[in-house]
Amino acid sequence: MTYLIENIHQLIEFTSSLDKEVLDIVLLSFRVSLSAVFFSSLISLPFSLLLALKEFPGRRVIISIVNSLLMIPAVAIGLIVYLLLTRRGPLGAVGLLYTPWAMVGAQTFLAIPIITSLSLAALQGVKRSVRETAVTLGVNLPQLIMTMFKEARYPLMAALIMAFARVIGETGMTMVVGGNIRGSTRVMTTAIALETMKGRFELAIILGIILLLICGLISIPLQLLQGAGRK
Amino acid sequence: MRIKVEKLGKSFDGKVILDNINLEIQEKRVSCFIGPNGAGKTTLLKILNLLEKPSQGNLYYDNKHYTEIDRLSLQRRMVLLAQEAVMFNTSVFNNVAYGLKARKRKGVKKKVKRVLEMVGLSGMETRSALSLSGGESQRVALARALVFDPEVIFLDEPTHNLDPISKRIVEELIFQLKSQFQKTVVLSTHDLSLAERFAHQVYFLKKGRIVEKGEAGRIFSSPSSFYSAQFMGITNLFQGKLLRENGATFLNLEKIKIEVAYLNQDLEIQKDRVSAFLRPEEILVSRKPFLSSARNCFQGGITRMEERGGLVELTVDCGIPFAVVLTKRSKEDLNLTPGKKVYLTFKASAVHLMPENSDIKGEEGE
Repeated sequence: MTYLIENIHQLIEFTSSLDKEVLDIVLLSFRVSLSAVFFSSLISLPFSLLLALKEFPGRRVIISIVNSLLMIPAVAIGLIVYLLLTRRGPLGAVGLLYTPWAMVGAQTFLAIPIITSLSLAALQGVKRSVRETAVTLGVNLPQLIMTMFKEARYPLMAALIMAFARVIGETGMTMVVGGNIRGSTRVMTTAIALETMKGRFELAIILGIILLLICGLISIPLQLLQGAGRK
Repeated sequence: MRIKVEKLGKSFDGKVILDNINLEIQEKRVSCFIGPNGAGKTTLLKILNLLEKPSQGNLYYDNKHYTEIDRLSLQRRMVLLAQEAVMFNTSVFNNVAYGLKARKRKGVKKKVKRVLEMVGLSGMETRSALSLSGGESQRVALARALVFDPEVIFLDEPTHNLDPISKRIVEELIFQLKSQFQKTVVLSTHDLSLAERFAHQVYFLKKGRIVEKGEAGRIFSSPSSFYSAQFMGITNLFQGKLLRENGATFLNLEKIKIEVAYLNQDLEIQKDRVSAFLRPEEILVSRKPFLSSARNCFQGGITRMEERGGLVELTVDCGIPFAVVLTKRSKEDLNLTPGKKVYLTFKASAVHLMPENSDIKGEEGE
C-alpha cells in the first residue's frame, strides 16, 4: 500500500515539475488537431457517403479531385488560409489570423481530403450484398446509412486516426497561420522548430519525445483496427 | 400477398438477363424457379423483392402497380434470403434482431430466442456472426428473415452448398412455412428434389425466359419440353419424326424406330419433329427375347455399368444408347457384365411424347 502511495506521490511530483508551458503546448496541440478532425469529419463523412451511395454525373471527376488534393503541400494550404484571413484578405475583418482558430481552419482543410478519400474507400468496402441485405430486411434510409457506418467502423476509425496523426505533426502550415505565438498559438511542432533553431534543445527534445510517443501510441489502435477490418 | 408479373424484362449493360417474364405468384403457395446458373433466377427474385428495378414490364402486388405503393411499407412485407448468407459484422443477436429493430417492434429478445431455437442455434446470441460456419450463417440468415413474420419469403437457392445438418434444418423450416405458417414462398433452385417436395407451382427458366410452367405434380411426372426434361436429368431423351407403318406409329430415330402409342392429335405425322422420353425403370432387361404385349424389343451390348446404392445403372447400345436401371439382384441373376448382349423390352405407351418446340407452348399454356 505504501509503495502505491509513494508511486502516486512521485507521479504528482513529476507532473507538477513539468513545465507548465510544455503542458500548455501539448494541450493546445491536441485541442487544435482534435477540433480539426472533428470539423473535417462533419464535412467529409456525409460527402464520402454521398459519393459511395449515389451514382451521379461528375462523381468520378470529384473523386479524382479529392484524391489529387491528398498531394497538395500543406504549406500551400497555409498560404491560402493566410491570404484569406490576413487583414486585407476577404475574411480579414473576422480577425482570426494568428489565433488557434486559424490553425484549426487550416488543419481542417488538410484533413478533409484525407478523411474523404479514406472513408470513401471504407464505405465502398461495404459490399453491395450487405446493403441489399439491409434493404430486404426493411430498413429506411437513415437506418441504411447507420448500417453502412457500422459495417465500415474499423476502416472509418482508422481514417480519423490517420488524419489526426497527419495534422498534429504538421509544422509549416501551422506556423504560417498560427504565428507560433507563445502562450497562444504555440503547438508542439512549431515549438520544436523554434527551440531547435534557438539551440535550446531540452524543450525540443521533451516535446519531440511526446510527439513520437503520441504517434507511437496512435499506431497501435490503428494496426488493431486495420487488422479487425480485414477479418 | 399476390404478385403478378407482366412482360417483365431486365437488361444490364446491353445484355438481356430477363425477357418477357409473365407469372403470377399465388398467395400461401410455394412457387419455384428452376434453371441452371445464369438463367436469371436471382435477378428475378431481386426484382420481385424490389431490390432491382425492371427494365420493362409491370409488377403488381395485390393488384396494385408497384409504383403506386409506398416502397418501404411494401418492402417490409417481404424478405429475400440470399444464396450466400451475408452477416453484419456484429453479434448473432444483433443480426437476427436487425429487421425487428428496423420496424421498431417490441419483445425483441423473446422473438430472437424463439427463432434461434427454430434454426437449432439456441444460446448463440453473443457469438460474433462473422465467426459462424457457412451452414450456421445460412441458418442465422433464415432466422433473421423469419423473425419479423413477413408475408412473402423469397429464397434464393436456400440449400445450396449446405452441410447435411443445416440442409435438413432449412428444408424442415421451408416445409413449416408451407404447411404450418401458410406463407407465400418463392424459391429458386437447381435442386430438383427440393422443388419436387415443396413446390405447388414450377417455372423452368432458361437464358432469362420461362420455358415451361405449371403445377409441380404435372411437370415432374410428364414434362412437356425437351429442355425441362433434360434439366430434370431424364436420361432416355429422343428427338425425331413420327411415321406411320402398318397401322402403327413409330418414332424414327434414323438407326432404330421405336413404336409409340400415338394419342396426341396435335402432332402431325411426318411434319413435326417431336421429343420423347423413356424412364430407365420402364425398360425390361433379358438375356433372350421373350413374347409379351410390349411393342418394342431391341438387342444391344452393355457399354457401361455403374452401381448406385442397391441399384445398377446400365447403358445399352442398341444403335442408340439406352439408360436402364435394375436392382443389384437382377443384375446378379442375369449375370450381366459389360460387353454382354441383352434384350431391352418396353411398351409403346411407356414412350412419352412431347412437341419439340414446346418452349413457346409452355408460355401460352395458361
